[in-house]
Amino acid sequence: MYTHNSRISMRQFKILLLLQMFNMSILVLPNTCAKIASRDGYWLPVFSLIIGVVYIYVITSLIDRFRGQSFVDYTQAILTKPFGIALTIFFAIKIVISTGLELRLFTEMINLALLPNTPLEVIALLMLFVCYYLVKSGIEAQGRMAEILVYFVFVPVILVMCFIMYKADYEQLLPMFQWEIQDAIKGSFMTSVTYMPLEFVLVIGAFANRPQKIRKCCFFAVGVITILEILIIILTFTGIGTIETEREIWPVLALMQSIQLPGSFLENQEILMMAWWIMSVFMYISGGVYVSSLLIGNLFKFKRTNVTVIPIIPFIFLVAIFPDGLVYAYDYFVGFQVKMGIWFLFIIPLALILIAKLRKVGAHETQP
Amino acid sequence: MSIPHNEDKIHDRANKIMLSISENLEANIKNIEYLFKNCADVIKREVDIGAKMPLKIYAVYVDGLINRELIENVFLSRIIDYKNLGDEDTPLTTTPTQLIMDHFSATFDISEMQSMDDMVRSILSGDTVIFVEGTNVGLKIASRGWPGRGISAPETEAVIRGPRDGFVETIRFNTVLIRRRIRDTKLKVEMTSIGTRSRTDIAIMYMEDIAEPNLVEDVKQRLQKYTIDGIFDSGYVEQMIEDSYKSPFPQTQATERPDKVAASLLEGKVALVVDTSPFVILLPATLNCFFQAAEDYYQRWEIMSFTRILRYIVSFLSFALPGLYIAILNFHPSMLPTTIVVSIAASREGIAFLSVLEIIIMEMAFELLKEAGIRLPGPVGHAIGVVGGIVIGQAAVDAKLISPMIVIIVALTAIATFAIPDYSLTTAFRIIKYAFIFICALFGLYGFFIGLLIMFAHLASLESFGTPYLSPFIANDGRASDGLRDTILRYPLFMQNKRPRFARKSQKTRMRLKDATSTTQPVTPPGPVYPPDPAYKEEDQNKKS
Repeated sequence: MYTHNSRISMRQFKILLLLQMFNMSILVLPNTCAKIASRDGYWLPVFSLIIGVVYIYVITSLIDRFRGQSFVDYTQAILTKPFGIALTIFFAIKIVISTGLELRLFTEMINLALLPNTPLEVIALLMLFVCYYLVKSGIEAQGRMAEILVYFVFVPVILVMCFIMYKADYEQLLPMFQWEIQDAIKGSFMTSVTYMPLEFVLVIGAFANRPQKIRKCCFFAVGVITILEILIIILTFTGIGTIETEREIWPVLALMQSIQLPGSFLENQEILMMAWWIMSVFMYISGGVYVSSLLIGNLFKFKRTNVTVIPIIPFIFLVAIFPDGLVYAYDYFVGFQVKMGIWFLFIIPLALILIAKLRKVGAHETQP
Repeated sequence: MSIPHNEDKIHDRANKIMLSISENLEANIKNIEYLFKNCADVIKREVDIGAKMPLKIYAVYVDGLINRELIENVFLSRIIDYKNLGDEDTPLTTTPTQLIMDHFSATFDISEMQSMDDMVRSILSGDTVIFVEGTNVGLKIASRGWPGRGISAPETEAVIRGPRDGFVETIRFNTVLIRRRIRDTKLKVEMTSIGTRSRTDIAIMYMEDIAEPNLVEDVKQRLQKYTIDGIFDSGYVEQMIEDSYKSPFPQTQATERPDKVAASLLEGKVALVVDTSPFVILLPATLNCFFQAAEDYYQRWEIMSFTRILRYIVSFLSFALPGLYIAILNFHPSMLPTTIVVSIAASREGIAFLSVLEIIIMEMAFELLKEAGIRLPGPVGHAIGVVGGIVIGQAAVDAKLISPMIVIIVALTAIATFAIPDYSLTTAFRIIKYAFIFICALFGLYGFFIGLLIMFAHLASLESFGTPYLSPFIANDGRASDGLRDTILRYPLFMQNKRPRFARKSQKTRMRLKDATSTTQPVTPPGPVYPPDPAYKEEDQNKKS
């Protein structure tokens, strides 16, 4: 019962991943898929699931070899200290940039939907403050927060989806299977980077109370996210049409604007629907802040790892305000995800496993 | 340590008397006279027991704190009887203290004491102490009998159906009210005291086999963490032992109801009964337990589940409603249907203040009325409520100082606040409400959601004696899911067969169907004494052989 042990249950682990993956990428995903595969775009998440399974295998195989060890420890064990330090810094920078860009897109969305006259900087700083407040309390608080927020995020999402499904015009999806195979491969890869929070598992995997179940939890989270992605893409296509989806930067937002909930006590209910994005994106950003600060904290061997949270925040803020406008921010966001997403989801973990095997480091080699 | 203390030749830093009991009665009398100099309420009397066995005793007690009937009619009358006994009837015992214990005391509750500090403490607690000539052992006769308030219905936790007895200011009455409800030897009552000067008694009550030993130990340690001169209510203890002093949320539960304490003890909680306080503290406390009222379990589950849902909704309204109103009105009026927006706009016509100022003025006026209502005697307090609520409210609307909508919002918020069963949670929401008003006035609905996130982040990081504050909504180890049956919905009692997460794992089940095997299962007696004593064991074996 005494819980100050920096451990999260597998239920919390699963929900944490789920919420982190349900981020800004999902909001822009229908647009990306529509551009690549037009009305067949909803098939892309299906194929990306296969790629996601590969990511999960690679990442969980790596952390399984080094159960309970921090990223800093096992990379130094595999690559020697200097390379381990370099890789940790590289990973921290990568997370800071992806979190910053996520934050920027989020502030743009809030600016568009809720606060048109408020400076983006203020919106971003407010969000970073909340993230700091949560992250300073450690991984346990994040796990608990995820368990609470999951109801606030997914229950309304599912209810609204059911309502849209009922009214959707499914003929918009016809004719089917018009895509090229190259487009499908490219699109699947681009869609698979929505699983980017899986890279956090490289760090937070050490806090799971049953490490042997991490892989199962990842499969669950990726599976649920894929289903949600497919549904959101289908509903966006059927709701506002493929052409409109291609034109809109925030097609899901346009979809929310287009629906009219029964009862009609509220008009412009998309403002209220912002709530779940705020909560879900908050979990991703706080995850980014936590993981990057933890990496730096472990690197410098600080006893209290949360001392690095405040120093990390200005860097994320600077990245967030760097793009000149929404279009640039969007380009950077998508470009960074596509170019850099794969590194810590696949390439580096795979390389680390191979080197660990060659150097015979890790639990499997030491076991009799 | 900068605590107040009375360090002199006799007292140490913790105000403990360092004198010992002397064999010389005169020395003891001098010490007592010195210690109780200018204490007119302390009665001291030296008595010569008799000529047959010349023995002097010195009795001390505080007038008004003791049961005079017990001491004067029973104890003193026996001494007089002893004086009149013949030589052959004179009881002879080995020690004078034994003589007094065996023949003069008309109570079982008489004990020997070894130190002057214990003797003085007993005097001040309402016992009568006796110094006996020629021995360095004192006697304490339990004779507490101060005037106290009788058992009455709890004022803050009234019920329609359920017991009407509430705690009072006397610790022993309170422990008895709990003991009456749990007739089990595993209900433990450990006594301790806090306050170097007040020396307030505290009873730590728990079920030995249900409460987590770590929890009990943690409670004991926290009680000894500070040295303080005096505590006068359980509120002092609550603030001294809580996990986070920065949090507005209560981390311990205070109750006036013995039935609630008894039920909580059976769930594995620890109760702290503080002398001079009618509120008993229950540990650990979770957010959910503040939504549970004693009556919830005395009525059918359907209506109580409905009431629970209502409580959760109104608790949300109690802190969120004014903020939401400001956010929607000032930032997102397009969210509301046009007719409502027009109606609100019409009601605000001619109002000089910003809506946020209106809300703050009205909320402050309400806080003021509430405070005035508490301080004033009952009927006058009610009159203040009527004058403030209706007359001033109406006048303010007529004078175009505030809009009617604001009156509705503030009144709804106030009603919602009082629908929460626990007062300490109400106070938390009262404070948070202002934070929400402030953040919504600045950032609209975005601010509202940010406020919610901060509140949840705070609650997620909060713990009460090792139990997450949001338990059982967050299932840290998978066990807590059973606890969800007593949260927003109150399941039928037979479905609530598991204890909450803070109970011992081995005692998870609290209810099961009776079966034949469970009642007829033979149980081997442990022997003549338990725990087994080698001497008795040998005797037992000899008998068997």
